[in-house]
Amino acid sequence: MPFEMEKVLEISHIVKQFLVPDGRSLTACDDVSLTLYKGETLGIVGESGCGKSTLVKTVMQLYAPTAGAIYHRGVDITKLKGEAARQNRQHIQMVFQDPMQAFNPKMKIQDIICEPLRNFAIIKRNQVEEKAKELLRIVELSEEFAERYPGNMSGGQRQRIAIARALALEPEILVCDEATSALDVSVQERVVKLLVKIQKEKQLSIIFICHDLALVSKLCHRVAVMYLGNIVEILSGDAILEAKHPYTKALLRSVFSLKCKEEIQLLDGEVPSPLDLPQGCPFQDRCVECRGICRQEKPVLKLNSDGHSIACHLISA
Amino acid sequence: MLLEVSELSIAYANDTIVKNMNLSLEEGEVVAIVGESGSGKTTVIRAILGCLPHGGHITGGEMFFEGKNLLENTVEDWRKLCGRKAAMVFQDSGSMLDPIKRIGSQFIEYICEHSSLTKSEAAKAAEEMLNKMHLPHTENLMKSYPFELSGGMRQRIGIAMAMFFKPRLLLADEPTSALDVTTQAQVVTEMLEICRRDQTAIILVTHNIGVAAYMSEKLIVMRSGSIVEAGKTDEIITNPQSQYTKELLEAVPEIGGKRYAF
Repeated sequence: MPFEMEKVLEISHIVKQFLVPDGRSLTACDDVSLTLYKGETLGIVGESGCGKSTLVKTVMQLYAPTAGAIYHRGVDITKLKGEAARQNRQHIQMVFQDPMQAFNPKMKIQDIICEPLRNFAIIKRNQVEEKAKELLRIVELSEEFAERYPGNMSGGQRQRIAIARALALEPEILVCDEATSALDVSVQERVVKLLVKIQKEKQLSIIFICHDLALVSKLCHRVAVMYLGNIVEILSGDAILEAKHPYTKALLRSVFSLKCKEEIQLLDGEVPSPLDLPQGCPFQDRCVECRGICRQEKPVLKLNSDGHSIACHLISA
Repeated sequence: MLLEVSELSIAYANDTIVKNMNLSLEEGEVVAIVGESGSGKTTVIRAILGCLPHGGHITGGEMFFEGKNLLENTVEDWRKLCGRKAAMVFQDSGSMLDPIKRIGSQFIEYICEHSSLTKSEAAKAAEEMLNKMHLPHTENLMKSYPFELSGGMRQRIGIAMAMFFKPRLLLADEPTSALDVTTQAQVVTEMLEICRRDQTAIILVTHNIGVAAYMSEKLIVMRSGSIVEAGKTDEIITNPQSQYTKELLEAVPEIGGKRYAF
């Protein structure tokens, strides 16, 4: 890989359970471990309900994990409290899926993108205008937008504003939760190119959540595939076609492609309820190659020699 | 010719949204309209079904469905047409369904409104239709409320309702945009299967060009209310003529295709 392997964030054995009213617990993340390196884009893919958003919300300190730790520069951020927790938020910032709901519609753009800086008392009131223009330039928007309101902007422009706000504090880590899913392909491409450009300039580490495998494979250095709260495969973005886990292969077969008109193959059934996780492999009920051992023992994520990790009994056999 | 739209122009208040739109559709043919948001794709199909939102009106052109001029339709004519001969699938079928009524009772109401079946006959027919869509546990589904179902499930129910009377024309407005890749593949194949069986023509509006390419025989590329390019899907995709279509196709991410430079 062309970047230095400096660990920025280490997610270690995170378990997140939610209690439901009838007393049972819903396991959204089941022992997830991931490492994010400096200057790297890490993609997380999976169907809705697989726990991707819960995972990043624990990274964002929005949820406290049931068990496990998240280390940022050697400090377990899940244990931080009060002012220390607040200060730590400077290092990890987020871009949300729907930029319309992420802004106060009655605030001007310049106030929106400078609010994080004002919160940490980094700039004074009279510097807002100047700083806003600088941030707008970074996201390739005209300086005139500073005086506008989010209501009269297009989706792509709003998403750029969301990126500008997230970058205001010069964070080390940017978390994008389906940040381009609501955009058209042409707009999506421009936003993604902007992210790549900013990443190169600032050596930013990006966690990119997306369910579009094609986009993830184009953009990310590494891709983690999640299923039912577990990471089932971690592989390099340029080697996505060499995926070995049956679930990743099934995901690849359900992508509609322009160039090769391969027959689409369907994945039968639905994701099982996270309220009662099956014993053994989480993917057993939908896997075409399911064997006896898959029903008894849960496969662990094993690292191959080429940096490709898979959690599947069939592969290790 | 099932549907013939010629030189159609639509305006909201004084702003012209769609200019000189032409479209023709044979029985059982699938046409996809692609383009970025704001290009007027949805406005076109809403006009065909006579359900333009407030302030929207047709300022020029003609629309003929099975030889009948749609612009001369009375309210009663629209009522006979919609549901039985032409039906629509929305982006989010969840917001089309009544949140406080069970799926079954809504489905039965829909059937009874457009036919002379009794309630019990309608209930049986509705369940059969859900079975045809390969939906699991149809008995439970009929008793569920919309919020109890996943987005993919609700979308499949929306399609089942739209296809119940074997309409000649199905208008699909971003039917899979809110779904995951796996559910999208499921909904797309089911929709195609059922339309091929009943020889239903489809107008598909989508910004997912991969889905459009998979489903359609003809493709229309729209931009700011006008047609940029129209023709056979395969030809446009392998050999796009206009600059805009080229850029649009270029922007579609492909697995194993070009990656961003790092």
